[in-house]
Amino acid sequence: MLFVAPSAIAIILMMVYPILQITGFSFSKITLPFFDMSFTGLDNFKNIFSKAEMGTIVKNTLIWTILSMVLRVVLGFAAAMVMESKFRGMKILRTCALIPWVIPSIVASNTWRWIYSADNGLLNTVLRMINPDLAANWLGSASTALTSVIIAYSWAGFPFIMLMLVAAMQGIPMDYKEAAKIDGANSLQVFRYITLPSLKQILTMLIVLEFINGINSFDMLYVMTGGGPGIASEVIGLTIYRYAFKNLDFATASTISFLIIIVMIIAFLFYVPASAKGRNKGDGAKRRGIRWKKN
Amino acid sequence: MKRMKKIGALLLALVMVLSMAAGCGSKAAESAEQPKDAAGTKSEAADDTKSEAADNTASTGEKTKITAWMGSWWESEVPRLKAGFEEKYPEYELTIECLPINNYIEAAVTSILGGNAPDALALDGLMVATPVGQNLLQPMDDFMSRYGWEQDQFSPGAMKNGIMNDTVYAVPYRTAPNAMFYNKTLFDKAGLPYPTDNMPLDQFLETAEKLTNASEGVYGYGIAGSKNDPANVITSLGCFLWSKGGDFLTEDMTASAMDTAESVEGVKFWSELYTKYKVVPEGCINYAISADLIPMAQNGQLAMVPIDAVSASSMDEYAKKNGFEWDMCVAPGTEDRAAAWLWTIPTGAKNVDGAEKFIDYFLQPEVLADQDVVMPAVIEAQSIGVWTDPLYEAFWRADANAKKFPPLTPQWNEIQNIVITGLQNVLQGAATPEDACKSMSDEINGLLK
Repeated sequence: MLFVAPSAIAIILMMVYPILQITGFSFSKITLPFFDMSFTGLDNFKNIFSKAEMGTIVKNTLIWTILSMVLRVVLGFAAAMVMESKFRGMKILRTCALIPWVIPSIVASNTWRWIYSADNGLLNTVLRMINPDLAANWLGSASTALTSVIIAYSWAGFPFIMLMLVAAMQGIPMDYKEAAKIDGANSLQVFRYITLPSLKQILTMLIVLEFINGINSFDMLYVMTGGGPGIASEVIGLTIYRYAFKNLDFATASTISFLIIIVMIIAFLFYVPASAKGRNKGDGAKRRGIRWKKN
Repeated sequence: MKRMKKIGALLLALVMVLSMAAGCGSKAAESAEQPKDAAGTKSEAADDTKSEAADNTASTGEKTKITAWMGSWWESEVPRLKAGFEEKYPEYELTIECLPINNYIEAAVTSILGGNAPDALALDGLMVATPVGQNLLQPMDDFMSRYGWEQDQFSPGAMKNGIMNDTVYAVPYRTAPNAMFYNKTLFDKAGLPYPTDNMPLDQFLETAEKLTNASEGVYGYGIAGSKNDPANVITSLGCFLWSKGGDFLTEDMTASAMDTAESVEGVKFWSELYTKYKVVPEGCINYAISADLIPMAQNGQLAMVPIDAVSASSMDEYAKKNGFEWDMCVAPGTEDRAAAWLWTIPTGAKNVDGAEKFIDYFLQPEVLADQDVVMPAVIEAQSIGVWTDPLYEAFWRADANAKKFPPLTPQWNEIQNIVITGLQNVLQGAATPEDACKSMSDEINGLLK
C-alpha cells in the first residue's frame, strides 16, 4: 500500500485538479492572462443554453458518437471474424488491416479530404467514370459532410476493435465450441450461443470506450470540414476548441466541458453495473460450458 | 462496506466543493491587486524583466537568452538572422522557433497563458485583435518611439493591422497583398482580352463566365469558403464586399454592418459566383486559397484566382510543366484587403528589452530585404534586392490598392466564425444572402452588446 501511495496520489491529483479547475471556471468569469476568476453562478450555463447553435451541435454530436461507434464496432467485429478464420496469409492480412490505425490521424484526415474533394478527388473521379450524376460535393453539402467524416473516422478506428476482439476470441476455449458442435449446434448457433456471449464483456467495454472516444474526437472533423458547411458537422469537441482557443473564452469552453464530464460520469455509471453483470453471466457460461463437456 | 463507500464519496465531494471555493476566493483576491489594463501589466512586467535580465547578465557574465516565434516558412533564414543579431548584440543568445501555420495562434496563446511566452511573437494581422482584447499582447508605442520608428515608414495598410484604439500593439514586417493570377493561355483560347487592374465587377463576372468550362474541369475564378483557413475566406470575400460599399462592422465598431444593402450586395455577388453563375469550382465551400485553389491554378484549371507572392514565385515551374502562360494584375473591384504579418511582444515575455532589440534589428531595411520569403512592410526595404524584380510589380500595385482590413476588435475571431458560417449557409443553399446577412448581424450585435 505504502509503495503504491505516491503514484496513486499523483494519478488522483492529475485527474482531480483539472476537474476542479473546470468546475471552478464553469461558475466564473475568467479574466486573462492570469485566469482571474469572479463567481457568476449559473450565468455561463444560461449563456450556453441560450445559444441557438447548441441544439444542432448536440444533435450532431449524438449522430457522430452513435453512428461512428456502431460502424467501428460492426466493422471491427466483421474484420475480427475474418481474421479468426484459418485461411493462409491471414497474418499478412491482419498486419495490413492495422494500417489505418497506425497512420497518424492528421495524415489520414488529409488523405480522406483529398479522396472526398469535389473537383479532383479520387471518389468523384471514380464515380464520374461510372456515372457523372453519382459525383457529389461530399464535404461541402450539409447532407453528406458529417456522414463522410464518420466513414473516414470509422475506417481509422476499426482496427483497434478488431485487435481487441481477435484477442478475446482467441481466449474462448475451443472446448466450448466443440461441445456445442457435438450437441448438434451449427456455425450460426455456435456464434450466437458461444462466441457472442463470451465476447459480451469486452464488447461492453469497447462500446463505452468508443462512446467516450466519439464525444472527445476532434481532429478528423477539424481537418476535413472544420465543422462546416455552416455548422452541419460541428460536434461538441470542435465547439469547446473554438471557444477556448479561437475566442479565448475559457469560461464557456469550461462550462461545456463540465457538462460533458457529467454526461461521461452518467455513461460510466451505466457501464460499471453492465460490466459487472457481464462478468457474472460470463461465469455462468463457463459453468454451463463445463456441464456441456461432461455431457 | 456500502456505508464506507458513501462516506468516501461524500468526503470527496466536500473536498471538491471546498477546493473550488478556495480557488475562486484566492484568485479573486489576487485579481483585485493585479493591474487590469495591458499597459499597466506591460510597464511593470517590462521593468521587472529588464532589471532581472540585466542583473543576471551582470552577475554571471552569461548571455541573455531571447526567443522569437515565426512561421515555418522562415526556417531557411534563421541562421542568417541569428548570426546577424548576435554579432550586433553579443550579450544576447537568440533562438528563433519556426512553427507551422496550422494552430499557430493556438500554440502561441497556450504558451503565453502557460507562462512560457516567447519574447517576440510574429502574428498575422487577423490574429492580433483577440489576444489584445484579452491583455495577452503588450503595447508597442514605447518601442516605436524608443527606436525611432514612425508609422509612415511602413506600408499603410499593413501598419493599420497593428493599431487598436490609437495604440500600436503590433509592428508590421511583412505586407501580404494578393494580386490576381490569370492564365493567359485560357484567355487566348476563349478569345478574351487579359484582365486589367481593378477590373469592374460586371466585366469580371462576364469574363469568368466565358472562361468556365465545367465539363473539362476549368473554372473562371476561385473563391475560398473553408472554415479551416478563415483568413483566406476573408480575403476571398473582402474585395467584393468592400468594392460594393459594404463592411463587417460600422465605422465605430459598435454594431454589425453585414445587414446593410451594400454588404448584402457584396455577399450576393460573391456567393452567386458559386450558386448562380457556377464560375468557381464545385468544392469551393470547403476550399482554401493556398491549399486548394492555387494547386488548381498550377494545374491549369483556374483562369483567375487571388495569389500571394510566395505562390507566385514558384508558378513558372508549373506553367512550364502544364503548358500555359500566366501573368498577374490587381484584384477586381475598387478595394482589397491589406494583409500583414507583424511583430508583437506577449504579456509575460521574459526579456522585453531583448525582444525590442531583436525586432528593431529585424526591421532594418537591409536585414528585412535580404530574403526572398515575404514582401517587406518597411517601405525603404521594398526598393532593395529581389523586391525590385518585375515579378513583384503587380504585388506592389496591389499593396497600394489594399487599404481595407477586418475590424480590429477583440471579438473579431467570433465575428469571423459567424460570418464564415453564414457564408457557408448561403453557398450550400441553406439561406439566401439577405437572410444570412440578417442572421449574421443579429449574432454579431448580440456579441457586441
